[in-house]
Amino acid sequence: MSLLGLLSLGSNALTAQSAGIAVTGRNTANVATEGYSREAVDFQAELAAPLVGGVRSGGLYRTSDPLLGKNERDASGAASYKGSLSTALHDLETTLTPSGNTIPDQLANLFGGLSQLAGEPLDPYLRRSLVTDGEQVARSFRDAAAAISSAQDDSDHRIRSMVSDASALTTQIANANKRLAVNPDPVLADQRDLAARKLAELVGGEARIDSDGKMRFVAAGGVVLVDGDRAASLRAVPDATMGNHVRVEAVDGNHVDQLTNSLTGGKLAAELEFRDKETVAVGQSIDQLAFDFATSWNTIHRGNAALDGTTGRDFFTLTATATGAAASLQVNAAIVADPSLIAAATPGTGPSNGQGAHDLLALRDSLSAAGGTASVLTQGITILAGVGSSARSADTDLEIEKQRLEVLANARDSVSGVSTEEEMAKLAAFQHAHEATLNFISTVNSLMSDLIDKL
Amino acid sequence: MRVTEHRLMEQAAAGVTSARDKAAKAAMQTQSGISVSRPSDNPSAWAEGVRASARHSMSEGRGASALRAHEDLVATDDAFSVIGDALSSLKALSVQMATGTISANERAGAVSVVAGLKATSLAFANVRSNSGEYLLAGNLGDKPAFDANGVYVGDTGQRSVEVGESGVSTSTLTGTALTAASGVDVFALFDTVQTALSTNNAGALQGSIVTITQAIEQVAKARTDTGNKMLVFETAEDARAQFEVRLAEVHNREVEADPIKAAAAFTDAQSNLQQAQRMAQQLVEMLRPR
Repeated sequence: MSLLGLLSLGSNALTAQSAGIAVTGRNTANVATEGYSREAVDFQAELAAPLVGGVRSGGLYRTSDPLLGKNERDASGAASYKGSLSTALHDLETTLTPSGNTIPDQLANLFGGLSQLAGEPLDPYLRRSLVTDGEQVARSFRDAAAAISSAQDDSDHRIRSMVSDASALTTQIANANKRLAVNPDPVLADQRDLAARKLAELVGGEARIDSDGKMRFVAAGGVVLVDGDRAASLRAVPDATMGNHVRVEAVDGNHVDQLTNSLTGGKLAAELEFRDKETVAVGQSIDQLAFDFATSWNTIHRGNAALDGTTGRDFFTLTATATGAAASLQVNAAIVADPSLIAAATPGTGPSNGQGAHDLLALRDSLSAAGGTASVLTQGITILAGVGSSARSADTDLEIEKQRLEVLANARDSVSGVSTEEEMAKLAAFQHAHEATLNFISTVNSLMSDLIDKL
Repeated sequence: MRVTEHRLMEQAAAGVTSARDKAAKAAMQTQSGISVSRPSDNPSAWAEGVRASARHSMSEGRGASALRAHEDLVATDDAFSVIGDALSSLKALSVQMATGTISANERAGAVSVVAGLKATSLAFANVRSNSGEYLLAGNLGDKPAFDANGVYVGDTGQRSVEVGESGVSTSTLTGTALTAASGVDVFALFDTVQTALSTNNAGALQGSIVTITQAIEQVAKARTDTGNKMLVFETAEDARAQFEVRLAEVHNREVEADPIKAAAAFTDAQSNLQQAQRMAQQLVEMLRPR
């Protein structure tokens, strides 16, 4: 081994230790960077043949566990789904249950007013009061229908925003795939993984690294969103058959995949579930309740007599079928204008007869809602409690998913996280190695100088 | 397992946030006194609370109705009382005018007294409620029960009012209590006595005394009926008040926070928050580079 060879050994060692110091610095600088995976230098000892050796610094490598990454994306998708659903359901229950002013509260007030009218059918104040109570019942149904419609519109806005974000993320992943093929920078890989996790939060699904090192992302439901350098773009298209709410599509060239009914994970799936299923179910229930209540009330009212003895008049006006009944419910304008038209008497008796009001009071306990299985009051309470129950269930599921995510995040951090203490220890080691190498080079240099002097 | 400082700090921060959220929720419950403010807090408790509140509201409606019915019955009883007194006066006058020592002029002079008694009785027989309804007219309460001659022009309809969640009680009497349908036509009786006085017919006067006595008993029976109906409403009112207290208890049990438990929970939450904050501070101190 020549002295020049030894100098070369020292030079390589300095380069390797400098690389180590640089990586330590990079790790420390990115200790709080989201998605950053701890990096390390691949030191390789040189073969000794003979009395020659040293160290060579290979490339950088990321300390990451693909399986952990996959599990974390799964958990993110599930937690995001439950989180979005929980938030949307809580917002809906808040608007549907204003304190003391819910549909059951207003129905109870109406029946309370009716009790009074049954005892004093001629009293104009009680008649006017009953009209007001009826208007408040109608308004509570209309408000509930409006709250549901508003919740659907808000969800639609959120869906549009999420579709835009998801589309940007698929492009980002595809671009990262392209760049990584040329420049395998660990930071690019981190950014790709982070984009994949964010995309999983939006659409659920799985990402895997193919043998060519490129990421393939498949949304929950099976639609390929990223395949190597190709990214499908997501778009939100207003659909007249859905009340101009958007349907979600993935477009790849001429190929279009419908995602609206196929997504099963992530925030988008939660919002679609909320907009197209949860709110629709609640809306239909409230419509049916409004229809059942008003129809039953009108049937009785038509059969009884107003103060002038006339019959056949509806108390409420509403749609012909249950669809849209809540949004359209009103007190008959003729009765609003003239409360003496409230039919509180049995036909053929007289204006002081209150039996018609008693007939209406019987609705309070009769099983005229939910297909003949519940009273209108009970059904109203059941519908609203059901929204709360769904929200509570989503909360419980969210807590479970959050705990799962916490465990996976801890595991990921255990593998990929940067510990400043570890980096400081490594820095000290590299520093000492650097000093030792400098001493080695100095010694070799001194030997060479001696040799040259002697020569 | 390897745990980085960054992860420790993240978890400490999350712990503080979680403890703060719980402390805020406990504070809100303590201040508002409500533990179930929305269905998702406890769906079944919320439903029971709303159900109790609805039943309470409907009970209040029944209570207001029963109160008015009671007031109407009091007015009815007052009317019968006046009519009863008028009949008693009529009887006394008839007894006096039937004696042989009374002259024709004296009997003629008593005619206006009887007319006055009839007019007073007729006015009270057409008693009206606070809302203007003629209370003794049956189902035809928009018109006087008796015409100017004392003929009953109402009907026999009676109204009912709820006295409980599943009970009703009759709340009206009809003017038939003062007609031949109940025994004696009271207003015709006044006419009979007037005629007897104006024709100086002592025998007819003597004969009317028995009928007047029957009429007095008839009106007394009507008062008894009225009193019985009033008693039903008074009893129902007591029961209603107790029922509403029970409903309020149900509502409180399901929806409202026990103040002692809420205060204790708030104290615990505060303590947990302070502990989480101390741990976070200690962690910061421990991990601070030297």
